[in-house]
Amino acid sequence: MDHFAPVAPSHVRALVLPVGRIERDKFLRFVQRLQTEASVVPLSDIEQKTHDEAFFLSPKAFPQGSLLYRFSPAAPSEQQQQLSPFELFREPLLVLGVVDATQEDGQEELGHAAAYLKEKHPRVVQRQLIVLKEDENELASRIGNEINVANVEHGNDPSLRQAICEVSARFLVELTTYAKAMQASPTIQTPGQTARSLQRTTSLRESEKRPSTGHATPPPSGSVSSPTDDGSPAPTSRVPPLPATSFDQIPGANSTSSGIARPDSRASDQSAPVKPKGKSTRASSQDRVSVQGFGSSTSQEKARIRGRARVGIVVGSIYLMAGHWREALRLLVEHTTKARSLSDHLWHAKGLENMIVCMLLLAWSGVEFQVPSICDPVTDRTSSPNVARLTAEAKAAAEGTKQQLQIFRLSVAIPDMAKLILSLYRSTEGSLELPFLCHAEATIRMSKLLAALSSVKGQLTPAALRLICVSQYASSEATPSPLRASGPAAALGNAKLLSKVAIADMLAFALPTPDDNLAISDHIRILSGVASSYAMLALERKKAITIRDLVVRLTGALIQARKLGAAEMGIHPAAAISMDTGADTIRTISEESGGINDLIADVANIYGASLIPPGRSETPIYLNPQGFGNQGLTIQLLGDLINFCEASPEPFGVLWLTSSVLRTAGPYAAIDAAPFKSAVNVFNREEQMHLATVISQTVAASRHLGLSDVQATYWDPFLVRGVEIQQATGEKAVIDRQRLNQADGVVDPRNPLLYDPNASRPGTATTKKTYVLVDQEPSECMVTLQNPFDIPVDIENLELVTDGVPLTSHHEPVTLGPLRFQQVRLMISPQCTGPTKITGCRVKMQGCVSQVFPIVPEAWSAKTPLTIKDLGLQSRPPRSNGEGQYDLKSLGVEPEVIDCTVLDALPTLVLDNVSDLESGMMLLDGENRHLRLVLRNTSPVAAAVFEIKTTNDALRPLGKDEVAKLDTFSGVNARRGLSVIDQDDAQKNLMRPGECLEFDFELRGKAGVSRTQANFFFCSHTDVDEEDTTTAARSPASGRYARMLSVPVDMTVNAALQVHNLEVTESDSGKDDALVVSFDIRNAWPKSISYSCSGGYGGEDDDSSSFELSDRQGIIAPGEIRRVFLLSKRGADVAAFGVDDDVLQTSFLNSLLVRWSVDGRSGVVDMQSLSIPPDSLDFIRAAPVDVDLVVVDDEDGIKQPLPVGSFVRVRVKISNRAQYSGPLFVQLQPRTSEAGRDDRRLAVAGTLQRIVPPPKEGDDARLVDFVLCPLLAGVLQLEAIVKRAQIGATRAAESEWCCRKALALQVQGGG
Amino acid sequence: MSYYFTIIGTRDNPLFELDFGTSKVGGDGIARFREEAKHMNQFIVHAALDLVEETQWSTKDLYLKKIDSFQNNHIHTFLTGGNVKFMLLMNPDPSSTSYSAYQTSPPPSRPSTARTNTLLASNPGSQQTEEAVRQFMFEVYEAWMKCIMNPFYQVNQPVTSPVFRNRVGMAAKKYL
Repeated sequence: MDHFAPVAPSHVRALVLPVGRIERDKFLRFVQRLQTEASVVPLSDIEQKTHDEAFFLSPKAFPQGSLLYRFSPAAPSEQQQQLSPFELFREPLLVLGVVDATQEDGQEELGHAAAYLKEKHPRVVQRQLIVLKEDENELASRIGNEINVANVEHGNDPSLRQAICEVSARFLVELTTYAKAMQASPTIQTPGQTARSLQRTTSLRESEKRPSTGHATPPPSGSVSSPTDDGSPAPTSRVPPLPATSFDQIPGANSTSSGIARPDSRASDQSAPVKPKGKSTRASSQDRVSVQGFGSSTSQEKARIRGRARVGIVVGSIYLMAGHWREALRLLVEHTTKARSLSDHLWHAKGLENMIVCMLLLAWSGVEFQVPSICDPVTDRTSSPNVARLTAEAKAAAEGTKQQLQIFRLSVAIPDMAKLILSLYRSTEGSLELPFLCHAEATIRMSKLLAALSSVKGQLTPAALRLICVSQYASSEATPSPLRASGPAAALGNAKLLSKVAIADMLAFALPTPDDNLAISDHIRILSGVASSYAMLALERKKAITIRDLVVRLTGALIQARKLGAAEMGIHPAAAISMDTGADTIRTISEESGGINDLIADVANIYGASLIPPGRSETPIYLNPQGFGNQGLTIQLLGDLINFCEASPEPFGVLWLTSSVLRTAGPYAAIDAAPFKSAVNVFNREEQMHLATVISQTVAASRHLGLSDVQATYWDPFLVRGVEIQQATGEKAVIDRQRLNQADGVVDPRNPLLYDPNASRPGTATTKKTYVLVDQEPSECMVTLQNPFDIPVDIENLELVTDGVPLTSHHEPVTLGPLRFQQVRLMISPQCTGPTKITGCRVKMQGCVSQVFPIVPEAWSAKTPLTIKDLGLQSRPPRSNGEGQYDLKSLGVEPEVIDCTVLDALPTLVLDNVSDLESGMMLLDGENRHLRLVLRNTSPVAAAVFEIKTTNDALRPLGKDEVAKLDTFSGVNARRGLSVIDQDDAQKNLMRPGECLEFDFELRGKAGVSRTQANFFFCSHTDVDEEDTTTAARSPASGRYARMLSVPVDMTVNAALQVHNLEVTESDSGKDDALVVSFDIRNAWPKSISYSCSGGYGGEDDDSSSFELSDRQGIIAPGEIRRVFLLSKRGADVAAFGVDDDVLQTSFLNSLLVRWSVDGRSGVVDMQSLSIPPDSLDFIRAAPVDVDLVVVDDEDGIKQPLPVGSFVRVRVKISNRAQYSGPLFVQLQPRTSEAGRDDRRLAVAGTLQRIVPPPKEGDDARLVDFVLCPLLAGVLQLEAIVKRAQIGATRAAESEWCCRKALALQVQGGG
Repeated sequence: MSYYFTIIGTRDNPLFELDFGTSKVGGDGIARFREEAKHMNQFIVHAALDLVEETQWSTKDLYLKKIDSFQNNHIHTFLTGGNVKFMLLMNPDPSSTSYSAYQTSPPPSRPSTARTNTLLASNPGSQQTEEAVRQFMFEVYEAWMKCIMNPFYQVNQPVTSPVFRNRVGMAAKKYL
């Protein structure tokens, strides 16, 4: 039951106390069950105990009624109890002593307990022991009149309700006695204190100002009059009237004279809030002068009547509590009218309030009732609201029952009555005024009633009544929406409905100030009531400021209690207070929120503070990036809340809020490295350090107390900014064989363009890199973390989170320094193979929960929205539990995912005979040497070497057969430096774990080469043992990835025999195609070298006889230069006519071979470094056709010399050497010294030029005949020229060639 | 007699803040808020936003008059078309305000009402006060319009312009 429910005056306050030994949990569970299950007890359920005539509170008299209990384990404060007869509901009328039967054994102890209760609580109407039993069958130990309750632990067990009905039956009997005693008393003292307004000279002005200014602060008072009730308050005791009360009799007397005459108009005066107070103060000030003058018998008569009225009102309230609402209403109407007529304002107000409660309860229970005329709104009769009311009333009467009409009348009456009641409560009785507590609580009750009323548009509905009376929402309908819109929505009939602003104004009066001298618990209770009223009015921010005030107060109270508790020792500082003020109060205010964390979250949300949700979450929660509210207020509020949690003590809350405040103050961004502007922080370094210390201390203290899971949430969700796997280099490097084959070497994945404008476009971006890891082999990984805070944090654990194959990781202990990006080195080793994706890092910071942080590679920070779409509080982010969570993608950040592949274990090979290579080798230029490299497989996996590459041609791998003969032949193919081992060799190159394998190379000394490298490519060969596997499976190429071992070979190359000045000339001999090749050889070695030269296209054997050549072999002394002539033949290579110069030169030089030997070393001079002069090349180049020129005589052979004028037939023979196809141009040209005089020397039939088809393949020759007649005697020089014929526009695509052949004819003159 | 003027954006965020005192009846124009009032003023103004949201639908004027009071602080509001709130908090005697959350502050002494009686805040609802505040608000509104016409100004961005601050100060001196 809500303390501040509008029907609170009808509640029976029941104090539930533990008696004897009882577990705390059990007791609290019992109390909680009482509160939820037994708060409302219908009278019809209660058995009638006695049939005594005088038992006028018999439950059978009004079975529709109910008893409304308010069970509480806390006794009201002293200040509240002093209000008792005036506000009876404040005093506990029922005390329930709870005994645990399982703990309690002695029956005498129960008796003692009962006696103790009686002694301790003498004023209460009924004391009752309740024994908690395990089950009903247990033997009941009947002492006294205790009531047994079984099965406390089970909710909704009927025995509890039965017990309460039993208690109620007994209680009603006792209450009857109490009421009788009350009836017998002549009068009742009004509780109160000296009106503070009287103590001030400017009282009149102040009191007039207060209502108009909305001044919530009652003026402070230096001294408060002690309560009139003096601590011996047996309910029946009659307190003799104190002298002070005599003051108020006179104004009463004064006013009655007029009041009786026109009761209605008086009431109308009072309805204006200012007047009664002003009047009474004025009256009281008159009292002071005239008090002695009166004191007549009429005054005593008035006092007696007033006493009766007061007693009547109290008895009415007893009926109200007992559930006899109809009777209570009758009594209250009767006596309230009397009190009004006697100007007993405070009691008038009390009576009116109780009447409202009666009518509300009657309306709720569905009993017919009549709204008394005293309640009708008294307004100016001509005013429009009255007319409106009457019309609406008529309307309601037309369509509804009598009951509905009365409810409608009540609804209409309530706003005015509420205002009237509150203004009457503010009035004084002589020098007395009500304590602030009383007035404030009434204000809250009335505000709640009005708020509930306006939430249903001024029309009380059954649902609204249920809410008002038992604080229960109808199960069928949802929670009534709090007041949202106000203003013109009010209907015609609800003209008197108070606006939210007016209700809020009214509530402001209930806000306590330090001047009110409230007990701290009452203060907090009032604040909570005000806050919940604001919540009903949907004034969220007002509620928030009240709750904040409350939290600050409560913090102070808790700290105070701690100090006291520490002094007393033995009691947990927090436990001492949590039972009374703390927990109970917070529970009442957080009823609608559902818990203290919800309450905190709610308040924080109103102020726009973004809290980290309290629950643990696997990934960090991202908050709405759109800022809301005032950051200053937010941080202030969070600071207050942290203090509260510290005082509670609530370590979870402290950590939760401290993390939140750190996050709020920080940049909340994935910061950019460039300018550190983005890392601004509201707090300076000291404050940040302080907060960090709070976290670490809280964690440490909690751990010390045994709470091991008290951990904070790390405050920076953008912690992980990058993950990069360092690919192994050197022997461990893994090579993608596909790329190896594609690009024949190292592939550069980077964009070749320095600036690529299309690089950012989708589809054109460079492909994502996939990292390669090898099973069971650790590799290094760099994780980049950001810390925009000025706090160093220890990283307790950091591991990669993968989607796929797990990667176990290990790292050195590391501290994340303040204000920096930091790279953490992580060793990761996969445990099984397969593809995997690194999606984030699980990071455990010191004192924080381990969470999975996604990788945020790009800088990001929140931006305020550019458009305004919401009004007011609607624009704040939704409550952060549940739906208001944001993931990275909704923030517009794309988390990075890193692809990895874990490969099967790959072997590693090492060079076994390292020592052979350690000392550098000396070679002479051109020397060949055999080199043997031995590799050893050090891994547990079988390895297969599938390819050997050398970096340059100084090193050449040898095939197995080559090894045997160690051939020195150096052809083009052998110099490629690449050896792909075929399938069979792969089998041979298989290395089982621990095995060694030899590889043979030929090392060749070459000038200028000092280092060469042999690269062995190998991969694992897991299925070597299976002989019958298919080729594909057996092939090492089945694995995509391979490794490489590179063996560097260092050598020193010294010059030996050098060749210079190569020259090629045409041979002088008759043979057309003979060439003479000459070059210098020089001995650069300090010893004599024997050499031998060979080469050229001719070979040595056939030429040696024909040509005189010198020095083809011999010994050359150191430093000597010798020219060597060799005979060669042009055109030996028939294909050479078409090739370009370089190829021709290379092939020609290859044909030359100069060998040397000295001291057991032998070698071949590298001829390639020579260059052939261009004119020499022309000699070398051979034409595709062979031309011969002969004189053919038909009859008798050739006559030499030819006579002048004879005809001679000259034949050109063309034979094809190469596969030349194409027309040929053949020309016969006389060669003379004088150009242009040919026609004088010879005559020609036809022309001397022909175009002929090419000689056929395999044909002997094509013959072209020219017939000429020499005209002059002498020698006739003829030359046949054969060229490629140019037909049409065809350009010479190939190199031009020209083949000539000369012929000399002797021509005899005269003959 | 002290004033706290603030401009609140659409997301409850403060855009501008200024403390000043009265310049009438011999005032020196300096605010006399106590230390804890500095942030309590913010809280009070924030709480008053609830009532702004209530009141703004009930009138068609931009000036909403006095909308709330908290102890002896009174809050007047002007609402611009862009849902930006000009909130003026006036306190006739800041030293007497006891912010209930803070017990550390010394118990307030009552103001000598005779002196403050002529001041605007002594009668926050009076015609004279409302008129003065209205004129002040409209003058600030004019300056505000000019200020936010700056093409570099974004909505809900705090205003740091010293010119604007100066103008608000001048308007305060003139009317309050």
